[in-house]
Amino acid sequence: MKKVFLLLLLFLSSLGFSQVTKSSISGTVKSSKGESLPGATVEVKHEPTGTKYFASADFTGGYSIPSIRPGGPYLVTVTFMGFKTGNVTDINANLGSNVTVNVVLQDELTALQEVSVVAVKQSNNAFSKGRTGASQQFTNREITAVPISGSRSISSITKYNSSSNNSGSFGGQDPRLNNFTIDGSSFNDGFGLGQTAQAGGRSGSTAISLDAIEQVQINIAPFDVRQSGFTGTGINAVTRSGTNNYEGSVYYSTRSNKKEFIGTKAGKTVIENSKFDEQIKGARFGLPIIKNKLFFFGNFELLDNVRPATNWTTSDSPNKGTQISAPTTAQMQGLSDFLLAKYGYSTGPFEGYDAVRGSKKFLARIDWNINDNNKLTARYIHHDSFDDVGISGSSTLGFGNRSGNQFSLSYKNSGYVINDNSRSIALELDSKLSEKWSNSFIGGYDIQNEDRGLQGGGFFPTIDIKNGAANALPLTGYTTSTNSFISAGLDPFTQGNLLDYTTFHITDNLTKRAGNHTYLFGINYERYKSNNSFFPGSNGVYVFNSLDEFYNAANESLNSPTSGYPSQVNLPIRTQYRYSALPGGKEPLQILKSNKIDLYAQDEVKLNDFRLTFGIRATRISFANTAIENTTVTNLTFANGEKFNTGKMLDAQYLFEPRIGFNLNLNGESKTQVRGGTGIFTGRPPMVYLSNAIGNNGVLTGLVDVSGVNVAPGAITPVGYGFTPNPAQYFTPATVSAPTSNFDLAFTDTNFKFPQVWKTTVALDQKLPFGFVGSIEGIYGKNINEVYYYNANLAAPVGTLNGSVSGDNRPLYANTDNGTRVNNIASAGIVLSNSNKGYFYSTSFKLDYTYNKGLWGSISYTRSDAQDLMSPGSTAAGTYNGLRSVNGNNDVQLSNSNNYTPHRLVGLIGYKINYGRKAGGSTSISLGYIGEQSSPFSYTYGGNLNGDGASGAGNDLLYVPNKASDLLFTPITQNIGGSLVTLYTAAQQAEAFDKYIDQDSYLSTKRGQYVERNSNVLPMYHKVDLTLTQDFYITVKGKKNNFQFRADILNFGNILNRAWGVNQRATAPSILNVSQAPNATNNYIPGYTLNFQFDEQGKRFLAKDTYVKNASANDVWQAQFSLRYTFGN
Amino acid sequence: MNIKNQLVKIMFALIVAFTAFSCSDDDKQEIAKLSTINDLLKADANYSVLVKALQVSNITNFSAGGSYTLFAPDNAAFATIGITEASLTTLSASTLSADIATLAAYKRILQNHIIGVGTNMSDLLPSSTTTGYTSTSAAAVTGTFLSMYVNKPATNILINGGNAVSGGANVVRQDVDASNGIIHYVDRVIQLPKIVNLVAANPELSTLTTIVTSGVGGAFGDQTAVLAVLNGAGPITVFAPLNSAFDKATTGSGFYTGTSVTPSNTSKLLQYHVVNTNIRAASASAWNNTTDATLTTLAPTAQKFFIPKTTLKITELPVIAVPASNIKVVNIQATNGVIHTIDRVLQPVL
Repeated sequence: MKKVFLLLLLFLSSLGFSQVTKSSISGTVKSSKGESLPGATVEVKHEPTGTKYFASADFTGGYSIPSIRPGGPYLVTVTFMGFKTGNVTDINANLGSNVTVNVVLQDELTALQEVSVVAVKQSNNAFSKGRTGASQQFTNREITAVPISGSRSISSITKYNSSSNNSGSFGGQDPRLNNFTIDGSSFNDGFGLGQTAQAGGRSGSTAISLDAIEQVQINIAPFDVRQSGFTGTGINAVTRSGTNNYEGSVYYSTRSNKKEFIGTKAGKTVIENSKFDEQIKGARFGLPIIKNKLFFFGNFELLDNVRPATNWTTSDSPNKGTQISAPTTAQMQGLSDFLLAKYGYSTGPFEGYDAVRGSKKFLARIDWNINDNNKLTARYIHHDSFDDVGISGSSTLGFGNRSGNQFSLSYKNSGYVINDNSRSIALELDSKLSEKWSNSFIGGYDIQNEDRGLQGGGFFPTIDIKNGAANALPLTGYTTSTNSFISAGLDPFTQGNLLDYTTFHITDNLTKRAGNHTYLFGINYERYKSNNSFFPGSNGVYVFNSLDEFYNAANESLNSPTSGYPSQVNLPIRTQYRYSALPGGKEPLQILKSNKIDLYAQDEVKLNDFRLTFGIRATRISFANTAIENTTVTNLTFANGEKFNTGKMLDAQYLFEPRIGFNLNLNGESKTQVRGGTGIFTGRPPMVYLSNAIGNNGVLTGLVDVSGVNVAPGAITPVGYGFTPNPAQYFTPATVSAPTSNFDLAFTDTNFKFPQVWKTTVALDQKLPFGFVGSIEGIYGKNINEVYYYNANLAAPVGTLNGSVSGDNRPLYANTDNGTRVNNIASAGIVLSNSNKGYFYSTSFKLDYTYNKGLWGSISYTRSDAQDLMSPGSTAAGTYNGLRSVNGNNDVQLSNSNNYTPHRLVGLIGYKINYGRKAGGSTSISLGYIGEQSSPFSYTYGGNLNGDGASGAGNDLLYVPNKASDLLFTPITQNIGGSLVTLYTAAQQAEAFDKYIDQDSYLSTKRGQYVERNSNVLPMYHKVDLTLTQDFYITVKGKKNNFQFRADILNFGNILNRAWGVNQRATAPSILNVSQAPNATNNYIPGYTLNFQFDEQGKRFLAKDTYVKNASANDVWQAQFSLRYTFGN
Repeated sequence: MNIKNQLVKIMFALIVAFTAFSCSDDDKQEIAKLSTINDLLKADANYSVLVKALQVSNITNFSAGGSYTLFAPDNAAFATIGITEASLTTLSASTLSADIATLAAYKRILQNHIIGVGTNMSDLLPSSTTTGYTSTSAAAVTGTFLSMYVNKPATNILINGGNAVSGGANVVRQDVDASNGIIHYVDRVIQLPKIVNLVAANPELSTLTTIVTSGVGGAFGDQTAVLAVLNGAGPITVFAPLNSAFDKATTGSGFYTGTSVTPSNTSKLLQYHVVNTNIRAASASAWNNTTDATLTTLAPTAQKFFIPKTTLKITELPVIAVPASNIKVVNIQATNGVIHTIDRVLQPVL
């Protein structure tokens, strides 16, 4: 028997042409003499589903299948007349990677009989031939192995990329400037109000179960122009699909505050964990509807988290614990009964009730192999989630401080429910048009709804009642109180708090292969629409001095000739009511509609061991004019002579993304490669940035805000603003007019451009002995357009601080509303605009160990720097007020970004051992480690040092004096039984401040200077998470029945040593409080007090340490236990 | 490559990493969760009067956060001055102006048991002649707070002279840690001190005490008139010479020796150390930061002395050829005036 001569060269690689939902296979077919074999037929078969793809070798022997489903195993079969058939098995294709299979066929004349089938070990996907930019793949093995907790967000895996950080930021960019796609369909928290950048973030859940995900890919700088929509990173996930095997899995996970689930020892402190109970139930199954042709996959998951909504009870409650509030059971029950009897309003319970967080999701996917040349995938995601939230404590409306303290209680139905619901459908059709042409089409439609809902009871005004007592005769009326007492009715920020948005998108990519070139032509269209309404106080908000006064007012209103007419004699002390100022009292919806169309073209050139991709993507974004003009504002002139028209949307914009990437395989042996590229990336800003200007134009709503005598009839209107369950009566007959003052304005510069970053990367990959692959990668990103806010209504400073002694002579603003405003009728005029100052760079070192006999792992370290002017939040005003500056927030300097993460070390390692045959089991362990230095903070003042208006508190960067006694300290006093006792004298504070400066590694270097924003970073924090699984299986009729027990232990180190895994926090970033605002009386020398520090017991003393240790549930170990039954496979 | 070996190596690396990042043993010690001062007092029936007294006085600090020092007298201590839970209940319900005034007086006495910052006994005890006095929360002369003198001459820790003298107390248990401060338990209710009480409590001022309390036929003749001023309503300021200062002045070549020592000269000498208003030093290092001070004393013919600005140095007027007398401890506040200790006896024109 002669030996069959079948030579294989195989690489797995993540190619420059990295795709969002697919993988690809390419290579060459040659004879043993080295001749190319044009016309050889290559058949690639996805074995689990029998899906087949075909290609034939071209005149150089090369072949390529540009679009195959990720996963495997694949069987590659090569046939050519006169040659023996060649088979290659066990090929696995990672998402977005290109598998290179080079086949050498043996002449049939010299080869006899059998063809040997050579199984090739999977190569490392980090090492690659076609890879260009920074990226990372996570296979199903890793997704299954990572330690998880709760509802298993995709970030529980993506955080193991060393360029990330603890907030989900990549490359120093805001997490909302990532683009998360599932099956090629964008699936972001597009409006941008959630805690995470993914759908489901509002209710602390995720729209898709990790159990439904097959593979995940992170692309920080893919130089393939098909990938766009981010300046941070692209995160692409594909869902699982059905196969020819009937497969299913049901699972149950649980965690709670019981001692088996959570630790109590955080360093020196013993913590008491608050009560909760969470259960997750889920199932997935895959099956063939028609073998080799049509497949179904489905996933279902239910999360249920129950926790006490409040631990506070009435003062005479039978259930009272340590948290006792002033109202009595009779008072709470009495008010509840009254509201039910008189108004039919049900308050719900006032103590001992639960808050529930829930998430219900399912996913269905169909894969249809229409024929060998056309493959169709359809996928539907359905997610409903909610979270019960208690009544707001804000005093913007009403009296505030409504519950959860020793003075006041509220009711369950005063709280609200935040919803986060998603529906998403996506369709993908891959077609091979000819040997040279192929096409890929993706279309999708997403609906997201984040409306607020009620916990029960319906809409009713917010009633804040204080505990004033009746005055003794001859005095009448009631004493006033500094504390709230009972709040009933609905949360004041809930009625009319609505948000929904939809995205429709289609993408078509046409690929042509021609010799060494692969051409790509693509088009992408996206239509976005959001409806947002924020209508705080529209239910009416009343403050009463006492319970009796409320009853009197309510009874008067009820007994009035027209029952429910506003009370005329018995009045609240404050009434607030927000009304729609739109014609006909229309709902004040902020509507945003955008149309985005992208065209792109790209060429990939292969020259022996060198690959080059270059292409360009052009984008046009336009907006429907949904803004409303406020003519009062149009006539105003702002700082620097600027004029704004709230009725004008930003102009249509054109953006370009040219990119070039390369990959050079040194020595031609796939042992060493150099790769990299440069190009521009366009991100999609959270749409709330643009919606802000549509909402804050001063014409949508008006606010009645009256107190004291102004509540009474006659003072302002004949009706007055007495209590009524229906405050709309204030305007009967309707006399609603648009407000004329106190506009809180937000503008968008009509030239505002979407964020763009120019990224450049270069990397070296090296295969090392013993199965390791090492990589070094450098990334540099320069912001071309970044988000920049300024206040066009901020008046110029009126002078400076007196720095004759201290040296701090920063500009001083007027410190009055009128004096800090250019136009006094507007409280602010925040403008959304662009700048280009920010940049990011990083160097990463990574060591990978490819899966081998059950063991796999990787470890990487990234050193990086991220600089920007500001790290925007959700609202224009919030962002602007959150800036940090010396000279006022219109003059911010380049400094460390909020996403600054100078050091990050991550490791993920897993080991699995299998045993048994017909019955048996397996044991696996995986460890995830993250060590990072992040969460930068700035030293500032408590209070407003430079007098730049209400918006300016806490934003002023600290000046570090040469010696603390150069500053004017004022004594810190404390009221002890009516005596104002000095706790710390000026001299004691000056001494303590000098000591504080000296012990702080940053402040001690800045004597006589201003600090820079975010210059202090929390110390390195190390966390190790662990997962253990134990499987048992028994094979029945060829089907495997597998039972698994799984334990996920987060912060595992804390079990071994209570001092490990404990976070630290900045003790007192607002290190000085401004106790005397600078003014003419004190010769513009401000007075300060030094901030306090608290020890573990809560004892306070003058701040002395930059950092203190935390003690919360995040500082102890937490476990989740799961049971799973799987059949099939 | 052998997988086991790799696994061992990786685990080893992890263990090394763990050890390198581990913290000191200090972090492993557990901190017991403490009760508040209020809860500690409530838990002991012997302090029910104090709890009641704090409640009716509306002193709520001890149940909230913060860091305070409380000197806690037990029920027996309150009983010796006629205060019981029942009497407090009666008083607090009363609308009689006399009762309201009594309650206010009780409140001020309670405030005299409170220091605004939690302080261990070791930090209250004198380590030199410049310490030993602490400011309590009880108001004294407008805008000032009473001082308390703590010392430990033998085995007992004494407050304002200890339980052997009127108005003082002994500490029976010290440094009891609470979540919002520290309790020192005492055996008497500490009364509001007058100048004489604070002078008498301090052994460093015992010579002065001996001299002013000298009666007819005493070693220094009849000084009852001076004593009456120091015990009067005031307010006055006393510059109190330390024992060492008197030793120097009255022995060897001291200026107050021999024939000049007469009861009337002694009175004159003492009066030269008293000023008829409550004058406090600006700081522990300067009598006045901006202006020189000339003080008129109670000595006959309104004799004066002089303290230059930014210093604590006293020179007699008219000027005599001796080094200035240094003020050592400033602002020891009593109900009827303030005391400053000095290291040289001032010389009036006798």
